[in-house]
Amino acid sequence: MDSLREMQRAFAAALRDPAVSCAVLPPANLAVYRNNGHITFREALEQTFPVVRRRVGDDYFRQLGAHYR
Amino acid sequence: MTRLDTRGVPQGPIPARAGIGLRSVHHEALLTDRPAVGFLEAHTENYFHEGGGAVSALLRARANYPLSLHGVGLGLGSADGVDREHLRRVKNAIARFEPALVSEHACWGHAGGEHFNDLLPLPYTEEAVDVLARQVGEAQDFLGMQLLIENVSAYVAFEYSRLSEWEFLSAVAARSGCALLLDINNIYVSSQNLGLDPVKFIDSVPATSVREIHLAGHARNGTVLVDDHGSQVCEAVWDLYRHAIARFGALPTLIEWDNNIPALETLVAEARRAERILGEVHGLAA
Repeated sequence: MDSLREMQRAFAAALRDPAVSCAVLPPANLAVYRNNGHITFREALEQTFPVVRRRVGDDYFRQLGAHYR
Repeated sequence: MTRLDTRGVPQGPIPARAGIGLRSVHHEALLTDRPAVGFLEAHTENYFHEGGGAVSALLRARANYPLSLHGVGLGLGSADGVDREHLRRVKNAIARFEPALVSEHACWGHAGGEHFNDLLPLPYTEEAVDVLARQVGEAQDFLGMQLLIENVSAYVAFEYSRLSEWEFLSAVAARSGCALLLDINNIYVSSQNLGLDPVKFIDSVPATSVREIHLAGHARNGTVLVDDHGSQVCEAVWDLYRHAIARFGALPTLIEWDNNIPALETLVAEARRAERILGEVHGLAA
């Protein structure tokens, strides 16, 4: 049985979607990894769309980013 | 004394001194001030492209300092396999920048075709030892050099882990022939988060496998310590560092700082402190 692959698929699904829980981990512990992912994603958008960010401002841009996902 | 090649570029092993992580905000100050640090460590993935400011800054800095390349993206414990294109780019970076050390992490980072750009935790099982050791071995064969594998900070422990973290790392090193990079802050963070003993960890790792040490700061978020590399090294980690080099010998020691990055002088002062401790423990001139 390939349990490592199954674990990583389940973990990945829970990282992508906060509504998904991961069978092998308590939700509270996932928060640190979800937050890292969120920051990476936001920084990638900030670097890709600097003009949009300047036009709409940081707060609005962050909200947009959160919804874009 | 660091050996220079015919171009005057430092070659040979990384000296048993303290180095600093190369960050873009310091490129200019580093070239102008040329602080007396033992080596530089750069994140491999930041130098994957052909040209640009970062590449030329690293090439110029490389003329003055020995270099270690530290990868954060291979995720060699990913069950889906090694990303060959990523590995090829690491090989190109090695050919271009001629690092004396190349390191990666004991983690996974991609699944189902998606990369998470994070150092995700592995369960400490025989299956995970097999996957990581096999893929570290494949990477070493392809790159033509030994890798150093670093312990990561943990925020979770898998209930079905059957090995301790040091047993896991020892088995990976024994099976793949890799060396280890011990991050003392990560040991401290994981120990605090999971209720483990950091001294026991340091005392149980195979001493001859350890070739480099990392030091950094962390943040506290409620009851959880987060390895954010955003502050000075804490006193408890300095104490563990002293204990570690007494056991492992004088080793290249890196100060990492990735968030709230301070002026270069602050980073250099942290490196000086590490060199003072190296001097006190091993009687070397700091």
